[in-house]
Amino acid sequence: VNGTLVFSPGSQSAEGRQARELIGAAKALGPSGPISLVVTTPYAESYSSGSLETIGGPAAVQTVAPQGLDFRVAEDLLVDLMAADEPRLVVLPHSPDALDIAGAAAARAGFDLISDVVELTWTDEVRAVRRIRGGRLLAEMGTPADRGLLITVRSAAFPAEDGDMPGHTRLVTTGDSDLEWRLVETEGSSEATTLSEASRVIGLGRGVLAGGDLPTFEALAEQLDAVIGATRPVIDAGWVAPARLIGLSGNTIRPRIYLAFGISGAVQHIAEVHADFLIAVTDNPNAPIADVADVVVLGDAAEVAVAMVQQTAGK
Amino acid sequence: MAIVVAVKHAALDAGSLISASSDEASEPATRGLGETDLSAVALACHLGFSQNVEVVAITAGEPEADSCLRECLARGASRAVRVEVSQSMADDPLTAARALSVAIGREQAEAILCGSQSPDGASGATGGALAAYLGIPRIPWTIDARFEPGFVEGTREIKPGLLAYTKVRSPVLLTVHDVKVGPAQGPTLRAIKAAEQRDIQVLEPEQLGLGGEAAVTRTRFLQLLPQSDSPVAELIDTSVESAADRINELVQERSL
Repeated sequence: VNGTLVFSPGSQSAEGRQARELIGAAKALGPSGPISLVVTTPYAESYSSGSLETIGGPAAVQTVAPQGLDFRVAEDLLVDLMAADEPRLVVLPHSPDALDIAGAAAARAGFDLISDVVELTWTDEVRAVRRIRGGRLLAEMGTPADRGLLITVRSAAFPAEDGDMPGHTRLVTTGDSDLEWRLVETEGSSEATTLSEASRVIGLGRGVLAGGDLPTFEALAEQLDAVIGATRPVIDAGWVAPARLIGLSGNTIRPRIYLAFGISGAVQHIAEVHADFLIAVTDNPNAPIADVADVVVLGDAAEVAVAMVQQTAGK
Repeated sequence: MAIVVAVKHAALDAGSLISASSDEASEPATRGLGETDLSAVALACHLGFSQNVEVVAITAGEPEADSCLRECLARGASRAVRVEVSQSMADDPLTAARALSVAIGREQAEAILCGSQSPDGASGATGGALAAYLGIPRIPWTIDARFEPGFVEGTREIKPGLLAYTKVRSPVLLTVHDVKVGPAQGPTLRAIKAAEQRDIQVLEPEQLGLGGEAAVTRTRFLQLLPQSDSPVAELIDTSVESAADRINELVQERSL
């Protein structure tokens, strides 16, 4: 059983931040032994021309598959690598695509699986500390050390580090002939980019629907130079475009300040909120978002928003 | 032909997680269907109704898990099956997927649906593992699906504003995140009462050939740990005007 395999599927960043964070996790968590990195990406040229060599190798793998289907290529490749290299530890990102691959690959390759890991101890039994319920709790898990272990780690949970080996690129194409596919653009895909890169985000949840109105929050966003995002109930109510969804099936946000109005804090939402400072305005002191917020304002979210707009306008 | 929806009797609060890991007097357990499982049930029942096919709800767990199967029945599932395993086995995605795969293999299903992620473990791995054990293709994170003879087409929102439509020869497994068939409606009181009277088929692991190593949970939940570095939030419980003023102050302070 050999070292650690870092597997970064679907990376689109030429800087390889995800890959570097996974290497950081492998160095912090992995057993002794070499760390190898495999990046699957439709954009291998940007890796091979420079950044991969500094990230560390050995391989970036260009997936030639339709967008949205490259998980099939990535999964097959990962299973092949797990069988051939017999790594003691495999590290994947804790992202929706990778989670799906992780379960399938672990089952196919006969590995054990623990997700959202923050700490590992290697003895005759592997002890893992993992986050559960969106990170509000930590759980200790144990698994025998006689098989390989596949883990997922959350974005930004470990410092980004460089690898140790030179990189090279190879091409893997999908051989799928058992499916048909097509892509359809819907409205507002550019809005998502703005949201994911904003330094101030105002999040709207179910709690604003009863007494609130969108113009108030739009005015507040303009005053604070913030971007509006939302949870699924607000999007289903037609307040904002689907592209502004914050959560596992939408956007990941990394703002300096996140103002959450009327948001309960469901796991699917909180998992994709990486804010430096979170202010939650809620009328429910027991809402899960209170567990992860820096400041909890008890009150009617719509009324507080109106008061904020009036105060800011008066200054 | 049948549609199977695999669900988890998931811990919906920390109390039940603690009770599952401790011999101490436990808090009342609150378990039920998570949001994505509810979406999977809604989509399965929608497809079953439109295709006029049976919808079979399946879970792995202890007798308490029957409650989530009865909720599936109340929401429109045709019948329900529980694979009798311990809660610790049901909580491990690989062990649960293996147990479910054997039971589902007996159903001649055209499509197997399950939620993309449970609210407790949130591993998001059971669907992928289940498809692997069944040896069938899968379409992850779907928001809608439709049937054609011999095929299933799943809709996946691969990023905001971009939908992927993938058509795969059935049987196929779909992990479901959100549904676009309309919000999952709660069952009526009449449906709940009717579901309470329904039989639930219980399959013992031995019936399914799940003896030996397959009956052992390799990854065990040991204990909850305190989050020593978890900060306590500042609580502002004052007038609306004062709260608004304080938030505006904080926004300015934190932007420096």
